[in-house]
Amino acid sequence: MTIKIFTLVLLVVSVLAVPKSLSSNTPINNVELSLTPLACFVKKMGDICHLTIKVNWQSVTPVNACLYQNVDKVHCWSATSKATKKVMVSLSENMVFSLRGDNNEIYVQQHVAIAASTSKRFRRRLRADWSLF
Amino acid sequence: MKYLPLLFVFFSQFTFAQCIATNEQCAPIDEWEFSLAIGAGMLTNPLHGGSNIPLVLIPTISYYGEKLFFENNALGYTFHETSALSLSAISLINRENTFFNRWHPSNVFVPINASGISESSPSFDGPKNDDTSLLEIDVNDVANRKWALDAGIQADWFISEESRLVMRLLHDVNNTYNGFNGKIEFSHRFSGFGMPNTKWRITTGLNWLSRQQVDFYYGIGEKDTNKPGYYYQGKSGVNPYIKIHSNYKLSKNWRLTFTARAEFLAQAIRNSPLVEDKLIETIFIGVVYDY
Repeated sequence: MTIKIFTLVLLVVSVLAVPKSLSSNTPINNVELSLTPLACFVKKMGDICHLTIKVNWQSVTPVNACLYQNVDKVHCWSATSKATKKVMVSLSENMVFSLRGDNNEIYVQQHVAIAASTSKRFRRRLRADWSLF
Repeated sequence: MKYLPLLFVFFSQFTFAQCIATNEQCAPIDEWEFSLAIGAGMLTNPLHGGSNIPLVLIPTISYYGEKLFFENNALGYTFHETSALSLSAISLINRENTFFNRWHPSNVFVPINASGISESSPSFDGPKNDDTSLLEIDVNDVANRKWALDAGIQADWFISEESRLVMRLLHDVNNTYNGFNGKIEFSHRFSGFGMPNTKWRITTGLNWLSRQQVDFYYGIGEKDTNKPGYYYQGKSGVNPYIKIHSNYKLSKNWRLTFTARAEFLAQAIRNSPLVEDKLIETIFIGVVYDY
């Protein structure tokens, strides 16, 4: 009985704790990041979207931070607690912007999504040839 | 073999680019697609007296929903899909009876010999031992075989954007041969040979036929002849095959296509008195119009 209660408590704690620990947007050092806009619409998927993204970030305490666009470094600040930056991007798929510290640790990150204005969607062909082939 | 599901789980963690446009790899969801190939080709018939099957017009039809799909003679339902792995329940018409039908127009008009049974050694009435490989029975002189409808599971493992592994295990569902068949197939797509706008796909695989399936189609029994010496009981067998396929894009809707395929028949099939050739060959060259 004790073991069952322990297991139940463990399960509840896990369910409550895991999503928070896995969340990529959880700020480290109380750094907040906001991107505008968060999505870009193209006519159809595969088209390139060109846009200017306004990046705002702020921290409770001054930090050394670099802004990354996927794996590419865009700009760095030293001992800064608040900054704004406009970034011109061309994207054909979803992109991640992250703010990282000196040791490449991710303070916070945000996604910019790409979406098609047409509702056409695709899936893998399973290529069932005629039985003759 | 028991670690295969674990392998799938492991590799399904790797992700590749999602389908974002119609191409050879990707189909639009909730749309019917139709194409027609016109050209010249042939599927050889390995049976004694069997006519090669001419290939002139080859229609291709497909529909992909979120889960359901229909492509040519296959109907399926994909119940698990990631960017690297797809698991589907699938049903399709079994190929084997193709060789037992008289496709050539001449077969309709030319009367069949009263007895198609022949012996490579004409001096005896029947075989003196168990070696039935010297005996021949014409496909036109045996009982009709039924078409089988198979159903089962198919796993598509997208190893990379260009390579995939397909595994399939089926069982007939219309009480025909009451057995299994399966296949494992690897295919790789590439551009090459210095030809622009050309895509090649090379495929190799193994077709496994259960004892029941080999026996139903290639076995010889009382229903086929009253000479017990010709009776043959099929065993399970594996047919390796290799195929090369290419497409050369001519315009938005037109493309040139070429397919060559060779399947090597298992000993268990070759030993049947019905079987004359060791190989089943397919060749086709033509133009395709995509509607």
